[in-house]
Amino acid sequence: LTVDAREALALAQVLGGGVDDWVPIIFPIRWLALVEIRVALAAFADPASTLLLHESQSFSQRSALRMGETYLVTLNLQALSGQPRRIEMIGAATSLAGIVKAELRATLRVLPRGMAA
Amino acid sequence: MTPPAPQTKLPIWTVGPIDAAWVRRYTEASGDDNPLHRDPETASAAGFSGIVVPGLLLLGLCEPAIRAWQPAARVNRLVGRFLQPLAAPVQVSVTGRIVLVTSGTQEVVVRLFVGTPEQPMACIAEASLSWPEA
Repeated sequence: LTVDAREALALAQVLGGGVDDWVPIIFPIRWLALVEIRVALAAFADPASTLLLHESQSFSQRSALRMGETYLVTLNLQALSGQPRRIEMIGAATSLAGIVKAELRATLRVLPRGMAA
Repeated sequence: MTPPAPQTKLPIWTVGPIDAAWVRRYTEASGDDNPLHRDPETASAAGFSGIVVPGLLLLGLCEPAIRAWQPAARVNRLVGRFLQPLAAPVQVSVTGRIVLVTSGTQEVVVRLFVGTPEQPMACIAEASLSWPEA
């Protein structure tokens, strides 16, 4: 996947960080909107009957992601035991040279639709 | 550059009010189509008084707050827990202080809080910063 400059700038602007060439550290969330990842998530929590609420999120990077650069992105999902239902997501963006550049980890709570959080 | 000393506080970074239009710009920029952040009826049915401000938007505000305070610093790690969902519209503040300075590496850890006077810990975050070698 590539860090699209327009997408990075749009995210930077809405966060209020000014208009320059920085890629927000939270940029990898943009990749979570991909159809492939939505389909994978839907296997854990049916979007017709559930909602997902972020409980925690971490991002780390060895060096800032660069606009226009391409990364191999991997994502692992697993259901956590216990109640309420939770999904853990662990991902990494690796350069084409095989160096891990950024990692993310998230815990999502699964809410039944229409039920108070 | 010498990192700031432990316990140094960030200047308070106030943002907002974050309203439905702002949340929509964020959800479009991030690709987040969660109806809790877009549809008042869905949010209401889930027990919220309005659309829910995305926790990742709150967490993401920490980076520009840090950049405004320490323009030369690089954020290497940003971790957040979302404790109190906020409903839009809402004005939030980012506050924080340095909790750890690692000697030798010029790396510091900053504890951050994003919230309102009524819900000051909507998001508790921690950021690791470093400064490029001169």
